[in-house]
Order: sequence, then C-alpha cells, then structure tokens
Amino acid sequence: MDRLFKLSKLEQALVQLILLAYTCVVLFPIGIAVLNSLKPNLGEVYKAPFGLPSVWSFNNYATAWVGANFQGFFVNSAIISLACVVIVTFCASTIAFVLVRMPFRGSTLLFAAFLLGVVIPIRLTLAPLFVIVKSLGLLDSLLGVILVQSASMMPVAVFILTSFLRAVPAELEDAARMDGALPFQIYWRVVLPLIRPALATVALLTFVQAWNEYFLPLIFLRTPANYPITLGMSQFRLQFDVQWHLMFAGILIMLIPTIVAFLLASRQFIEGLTQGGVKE
Amino acid sequence: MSSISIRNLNKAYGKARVLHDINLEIADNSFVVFVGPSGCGKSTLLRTIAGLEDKETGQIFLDGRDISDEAPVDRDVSMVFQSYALYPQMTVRENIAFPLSLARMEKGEIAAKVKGVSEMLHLEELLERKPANLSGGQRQRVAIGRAIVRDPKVFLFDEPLSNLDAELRVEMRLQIAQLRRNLSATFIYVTHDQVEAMTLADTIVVLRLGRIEQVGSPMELYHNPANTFVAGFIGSPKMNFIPARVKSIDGATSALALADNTEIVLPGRRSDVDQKVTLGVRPEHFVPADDGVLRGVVRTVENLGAVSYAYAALADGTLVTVALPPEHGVRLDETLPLSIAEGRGYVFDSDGKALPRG
Repeated sequence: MDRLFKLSKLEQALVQLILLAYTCVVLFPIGIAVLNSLKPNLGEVYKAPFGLPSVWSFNNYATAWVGANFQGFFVNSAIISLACVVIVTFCASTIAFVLVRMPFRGSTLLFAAFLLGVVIPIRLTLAPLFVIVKSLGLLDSLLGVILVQSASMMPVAVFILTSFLRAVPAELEDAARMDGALPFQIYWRVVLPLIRPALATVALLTFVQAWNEYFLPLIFLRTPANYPITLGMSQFRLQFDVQWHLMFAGILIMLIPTIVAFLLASRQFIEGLTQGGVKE
Repeated sequence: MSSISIRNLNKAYGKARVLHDINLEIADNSFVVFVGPSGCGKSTLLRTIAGLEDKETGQIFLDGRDISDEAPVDRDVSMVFQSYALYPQMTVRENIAFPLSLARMEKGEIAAKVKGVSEMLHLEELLERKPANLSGGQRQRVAIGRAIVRDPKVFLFDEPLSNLDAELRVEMRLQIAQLRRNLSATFIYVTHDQVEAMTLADTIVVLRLGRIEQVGSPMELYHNPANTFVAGFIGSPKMNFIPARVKSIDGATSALALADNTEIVLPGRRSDVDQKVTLGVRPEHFVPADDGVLRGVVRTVENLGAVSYAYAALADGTLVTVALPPEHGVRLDETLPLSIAEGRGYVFDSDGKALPRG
C-alpha cells in the first residue's frame, strides 16, 4: 500500500515518543497491580506501592482463587460469557442473513427495531424485562442472565453483521443456489466463512461485554453461588476490605480471559473493523 | 435432448416491467445468444430460465417438462456468472466438487468427475489453489468446470467474458466454442458484445426494453435486419442511417431523395411516394466510385491495418462511416464520391421497420 505521508526521522521519533508515553500510561496501572499482587503482605503495599516485592509470592492468587471462591465466580462468568458468544454469533448471523438476503414483508421494520435496540439502553427496559424473566421462572438462574445479556448484545451484533453481509456478492449465493444448496447450506458453507472477521469481532465484543457485565447479573441473580466474577469482586471487596494485595490478584485473575480473547482474535478483529468498505 | 420453449413469459420488478410476453423456441443442442444493450432484459431472461428470478406469468419448458416453478437445481441447467462467483474460501477442487457434494455423491465418484473436468479444461495444476491465486482466465475456466461437472442439459452463460481483457476474451471465446463441440447440451449465452454474438451463436435473439426484436442466425440478422434497432446493433461499425423520402416508384425500382435532393435508386417497391423513410447502408457496403451519386467530405480517417474507416459528412450533415481498403489514399477534407454496392441498401419506414428489398 502506498504511504499517505512520509515522515521525517524527527517526526517519526516524535510519533514514537507519543506512542510510548501512551503505552506507559496504559500499562503503568496494570504493572502496579501486578507488582502489588505479588507482595507477601499488605504492609509492603502501603510502604512502597510502586516498589518491587521483597519476596515474590503467588500466594495471593491462590488465596483469592480458593479462599474467596473465585474459581466458582470464574466458572459462572465463563459459562455466561461463552453461552452469550454462541447465542449471539449464531442468532445474529442467521438474522442478518435473513434480513439481507431473504427480505420479507416487515423485514425492514424488524431491522429498524434492532437499530432502536442499539440506541436504547437495556436498563430503560429493565422493569418489563424483570417481569418477563420472572414469569419464565428464570430469576436467579444463569440461563436467565445468559438470555438477557445475549438479547442486550444482539442489536449491535445484527448491525455489524448486516453491514458485512451486504458486501458479500449476491452472485455467490446465486451460484450456490444453482449448485443445489438450501438456504441453511448457503448460510453455513458459503456465507459464514466469508464473514469470519465480522463474526470474530462480534464474538470478541460479546465476550468482553458479557465478562465485564455487572449490572444485569446484579438485578437477575440473588444466590452468591450463581454470581459471575464481577459480582464476586464486589463480594470479595466486602470480605477482604483493605487487603489490596489480594484485591490486585483478584482483579488480575478477572482480566486474564479478556486479554487472552483479544490476543487470540486481534488479527480477525482488526480485519473485521477495516473490511467491508472496500470491494476486492 | 435439451430443447427449451418459452411461452408468454412476463416479469416485472414492482411497477417496472422488464420482460414483455417473451415467446421463444430454442432447439436441441443449439447455441443461442441473447444480445442487446444494458437494461434490455437479457440477463433477467437468463436468470428466469435459471430459476434465480421468479416469473410473473408464462411458462418455461425443458424437453416438454414445465420447469417454470422448479428450484434452480431441479431444472437441469447450470450457469456461469459474469463475476465467476467462485467460493473464495474453497480451493479449485472444492469449488468444482461443491455441487456434487451437495448432491451427496460418493467421494470416489466426485474425485473421478473433478479429474475429468479438470483435464478437459486444463486445470490439473491449479486444483489446490484458491480463487484469489488465479488469473481472470483461470477463474473463468474453474467457473465453467463447476458448471459442466453436473452434466446439465442446458448451460447458461451470463456475460462470462466481460471481465477479461481483449486478448483473453478472444482466447476464452475459442475455448467456449471448443467446449460446445465437446458437450452435448444447449448453450444460452448473454452478451452485449455483438462480435461474441456473431462468432459463437447459431441463433441470435436481439432484445430491447424487455421485448424480442428479432430472432435468427447471425448472417440472417446481418443481411435482413427487421428494423433499425437490429440493423444498428448487428454489425461493427454500426449501419449508417440517412434520412430520405420516396421520390418515385417505377415498377421494380424505387427512387429515394436525400435531404439535398440527391437521388438514389434501389431495387424493390419501397413504401409509397412522398413517404419519409430511412436509408440504411453498412460501412462495408459503401463503394468509393468516381460515378457515385453520394458525396461525403472526409472528416476523420482511422487506419486499423487490415481495414480503414473514413467518417464523411454528407450534404445534409449526416456523418457516415465508410470502410476502405488499407491502401486507400483518402485524405482529410477530400470529397469522397460514394455509391452503394448492388443490392446492399436497406430502407426502413418512419417507424424503423425494414421494408421489403424487392
């Protein structure tokens, strides 16, 4: 690709300096959290919050994991997040496929409803949502939270995937029809592989949002055994109050899955954000 | 057997009618080309035969079987698309095998068929490549391979060569002609390129605004166009049209008067005296001759090597194209005397309909 701008060496150095400074700003708090999570006791955190630990200890992670039942919260979060990813990617992609390629009377209205879902925060619809979940008997269950969280993420996912699907040449689907493919086979074997970057983007956004969601589980879950890690963290704060070294360990445990997800999907994620505007 | 019969076919997109009462008989094993300008309905007609578009009214029969309401895959037709429509995520082998795998054919049989097709189209070396790593001509061959692997009765080609460069287009045209000789099937081919139509077709169907203007063999359309549209569309460069009036009719000849009162006598009784008509002359049917009654002032000369074209302005301002031999010696601004080769003048009435040629 041709470069739009050619920077002089001085300009390059300046740009790199700014980027380095920004990286420091982002990484500094995380670095401090990592250092403090490895300190053997609270005293060291207070005495030298930015200093290295006198003894490098991973005990805080073990204490947080076992002592504060982080493993249980972690598993609940993993179940909720992964289920949301599966439901949202499958449902949003099939809905987008039907809306774009098999339009029917009212499909534009349906798409408009999804667009409305993008701009209306789910918290505004909390009261009717609560009644629905309760009448379905899904209050205080992981399934209830999974369904509500999936529904809250569907509009954005449908929006992203319809934009992508519009860029897929219709002739490919015509060719598949001529070859004898049924609508689901066209979706599964022809279209889905072509929108993989968009699916990765949707999956990543869904995972991160579901993993970090605090408000919806707070409303729909009551039993601590069902808590995801976000609610677990708040319980943990009550339990260990000022035990910062343990708190930092807990926070880092909570961060790991989202960092891993970003690392795994970063290439596809960037493709997903940049593709679609330019035809091959 | 693979004859097609289209009866009273109509198609509309909302209020816009794109096919008007199409009636067409396509003979077994023939090569039929739908030709016409953009928006004439030729691709829509092809896609309706394929089953990719729903008809409004009318019927399509393949060997006497009504296929109008059948799914594309059940019609026993296959199609090659303008953009090739190869599945980018699949290799060449997977692309060709795709229709067979959907039909749940046994793996061994699929492999044998893919091998046969790839040998026929010289694709053996490319089988493990993805479409992105193929040239335009190779992609088109793969698309053809995917179409023929199903052994359909009818092949539909939707402007298959329009994305290729000029040289490759000629090469692929020859390959399609060769393919046609090798396969026992009916070919229906859509193009806006009349050279492709003339060189490939047994029968050309000229369409305009969703209506069939004329059906016939390439030379039939060239020599006996039904109207000014067909006359202008078939032949390159296009036919010259000169406004005229019937001056007199004398037995077996008619005298036409051009705007500057130049008189041209043509065989045949053409319309009635004093009627406005259009004289049609193909560039290659003008003959530079000292005794020629037409006089054109040469404005431009294009020397193409094998042939040259002079663009000359007649007295009434009509610019006509004249084909000249390579060693013509014609100069700019020279007045060129022209006559019309015997029996080569066409006369069209005021509605553009061809009048009998005697």
